[in-house]
Amino acid sequence: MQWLALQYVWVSLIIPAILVLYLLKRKYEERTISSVLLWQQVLQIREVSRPFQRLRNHLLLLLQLLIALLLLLALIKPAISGEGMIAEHTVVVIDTSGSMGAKEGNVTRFQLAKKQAASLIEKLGNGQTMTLIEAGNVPRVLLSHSGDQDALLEQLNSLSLRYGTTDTLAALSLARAIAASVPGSGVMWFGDGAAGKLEDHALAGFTPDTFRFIQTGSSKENVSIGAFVTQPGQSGWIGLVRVDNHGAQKRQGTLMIYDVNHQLLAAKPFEAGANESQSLTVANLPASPAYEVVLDLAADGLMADNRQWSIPTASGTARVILVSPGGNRFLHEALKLRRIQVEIMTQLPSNITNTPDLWIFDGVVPEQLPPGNVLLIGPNKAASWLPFQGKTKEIRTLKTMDQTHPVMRYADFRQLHVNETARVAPMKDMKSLLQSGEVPLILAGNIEGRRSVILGFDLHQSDLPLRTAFPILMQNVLTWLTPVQSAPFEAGQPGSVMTIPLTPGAKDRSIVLPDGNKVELQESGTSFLFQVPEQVGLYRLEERMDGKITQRLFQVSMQEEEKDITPSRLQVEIGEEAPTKSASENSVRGINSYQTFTGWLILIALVILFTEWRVYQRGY
Amino acid sequence: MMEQPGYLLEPSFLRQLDRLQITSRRMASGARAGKRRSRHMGSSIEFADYRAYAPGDDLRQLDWNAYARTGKLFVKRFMDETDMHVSLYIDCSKSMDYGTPTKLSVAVRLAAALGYLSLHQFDYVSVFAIDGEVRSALRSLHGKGKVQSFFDFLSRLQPDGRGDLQQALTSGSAIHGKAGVSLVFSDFLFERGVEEGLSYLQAAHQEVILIHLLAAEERNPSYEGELRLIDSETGDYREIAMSPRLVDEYQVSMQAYQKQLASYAFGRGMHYVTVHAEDSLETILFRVFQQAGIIR
Repeated sequence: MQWLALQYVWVSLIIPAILVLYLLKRKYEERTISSVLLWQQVLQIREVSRPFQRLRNHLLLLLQLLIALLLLLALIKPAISGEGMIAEHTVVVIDTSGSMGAKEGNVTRFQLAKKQAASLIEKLGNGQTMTLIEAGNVPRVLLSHSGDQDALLEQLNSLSLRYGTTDTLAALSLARAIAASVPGSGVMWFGDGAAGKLEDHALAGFTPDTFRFIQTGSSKENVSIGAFVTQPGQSGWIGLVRVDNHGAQKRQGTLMIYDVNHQLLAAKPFEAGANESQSLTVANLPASPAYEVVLDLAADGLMADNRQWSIPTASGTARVILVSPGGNRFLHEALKLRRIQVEIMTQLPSNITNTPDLWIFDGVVPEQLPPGNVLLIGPNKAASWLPFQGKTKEIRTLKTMDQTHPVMRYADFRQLHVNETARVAPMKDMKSLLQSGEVPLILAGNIEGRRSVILGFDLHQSDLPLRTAFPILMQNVLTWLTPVQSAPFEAGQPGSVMTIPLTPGAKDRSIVLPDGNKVELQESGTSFLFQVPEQVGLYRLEERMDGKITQRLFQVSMQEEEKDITPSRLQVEIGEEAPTKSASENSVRGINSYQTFTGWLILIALVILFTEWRVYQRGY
Repeated sequence: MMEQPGYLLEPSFLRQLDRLQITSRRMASGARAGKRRSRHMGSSIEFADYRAYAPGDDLRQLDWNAYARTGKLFVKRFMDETDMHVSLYIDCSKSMDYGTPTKLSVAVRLAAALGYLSLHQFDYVSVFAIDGEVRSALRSLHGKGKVQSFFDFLSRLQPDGRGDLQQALTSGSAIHGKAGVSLVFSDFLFERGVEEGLSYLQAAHQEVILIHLLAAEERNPSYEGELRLIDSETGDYREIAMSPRLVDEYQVSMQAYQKQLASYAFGRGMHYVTVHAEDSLETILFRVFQQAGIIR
């Protein structure tokens, strides 16, 4: 039971007011009689002289109080959760995002949502109409203002799950606009609310009467592959896999790595605690154009994220000079992972004969930047190019500013602890990627035309080297700063648009989708904007160059947000109640909607009013 | 009070009363000869019986005719005609000043009529004006000559004070010590009840007759709305949201009270008569009282 209009609760003052009026009520007409002896006898049975007894004996007063109470109830709108259509015209929104593929028992959330929507369509009454919207990456109106049940069901059945993220805000705006265009419209949202956080005002304009959220999700147990990268090692290739457990239970299973022809290359058991990530390294993989990692575990919420690909980057050698006056074992180890040529110095050289691809300054700041890209770790003084403002130990909660930046990808800094960091003033072209309060910890961008990354803190002043994020970060940083090794393709996401670089002069370009279908490309430029279809897997770009067909692989995988399938709900604020949009909420409400019965209350009040009139007439 | 002494009762009405008298279950036993038959044999002209002569008998009572016929001496016995004491108790409390005509005026006129016919019958008449005590009284009036002073006394009575029959009758001054008939004119609405006072009266060899006077408004109150009912004697009040249902309950209560009084009177060998104050004097006397056997 909810109260939808608690602001009217002050009307309850009418009850004491009635009582006071009753007690202080009308002046008595005085009449002298011979004796009150017999009246007294009568009153002994029906004692009316004391206020308390008056209340007990006065049917009229009780009826008046009842009427007042019913009117008060009608004002504050008691409501109960209910099913069925909201209004004459209902805008039905179906969430088709990746997390809707999570299993709830034997069926997916998406199937559940479709089933519930279908039963709603079947209940469509005479004169009731429905507008069907798919809340995908881009919201889409499937059918507008239709009362045709067959057409609606057909459109509903044509819906399929998309692996992308739902743009909830856009879908809400669309639904709101459609609902606003037809008076007496309501919106019903079938989904799990798992994707994306909403701003507080996202549901502005809706009331509990006009917005109903049908929760289709309940489970939150899901294990996914957070990251999968491969790199050449001493002997063969090394695969680095991060397995994320989003659920509240410890999970174990087997991790398997296949080559491009789906030949099993390696298998390794894993175990991930509740809400934890585990990193696994699989060494000695034979060379392959692409690797596929598959998690094999029983009863996982979402299957689509148990599979990921890695396309090894083109090999090459980059020259790196590490300037580290104090020495840094962590860096030495991290740099060994890559096939890079590292030259270690304890101080800045006076003159550089051979310009390296990358300078790594660890705890040292050169007055002038030498040519080549720069990774600066733990700056300790200012320079003409570096607005160093001293050090601070006031480290607050770390906030990732841009998880999608190549340097930050797959790296998880949530558990990172930093003792002391440099305070660097905002720099032109340098973007803060990780910061504590206003103090940036990781910056990336350009300084004087050089690609640069600044790690504000000394590695020894943090536990970063002990974290999984460290090798991933180093890998990202080196990949980004040494262009020789950058991957030819960024990974794409279903439903998104990705830029595909084309080989100049090549012909007969086509993209082979994971399901084997081929898309012919008519482009003649050097890049192509590819609308990624709703398929996750390994895509292949084929080009004919000089009579020879070259193939390049790229992968399309689920968006990171969709891997957390914890259901949440979209709730319209009620009265003064604070909004509750907690993504980690365990309890899942099936149906988040309200049916008021104000009309009934008023009707009962009227019936009692009539009764009161009769009672008054009969003189009780 | 009210009417002029001369008009308390119309002369024509008084003439109708001449032939009536108050009945009594017991024979009167007054010391003086009256017009009332006594239980005792006496010297009136009314023949009763014969008995054999015994020495010492009054020779004037010998029936010489019987001696002539039978040769035996018989003494004639005659009923002794004697007087009776009639006491009239009139409740003059404030509550009697109610109704149209007021209960007190009806009580006074009834008392006047009964007193008149008693005086006419050479009975002794005492009249007591009572409220919480005996306010004033005329004791042992005898003979027609006292009628005027009796009427004067009655016409001076005014309703006042708080009634308490119990206290008034047990005060001592309300009892004259002679057996007779006592008529109590009242509405019997006393907080302390009436039983003890009436028992006291009965204990003084009185044949008690209760004349319960009720005004029409008391029997069938036509009240409605929110009323503050004020007691005329005590000033107490009750605030009542009047309703037909409540009035019904009052009527039931009133009837129950009448029944209770009647039942008490019957149990103690008293007469009980309800008098509607709005009825005419004739109706009350010649119908109600005669039917009830109070006068004949």
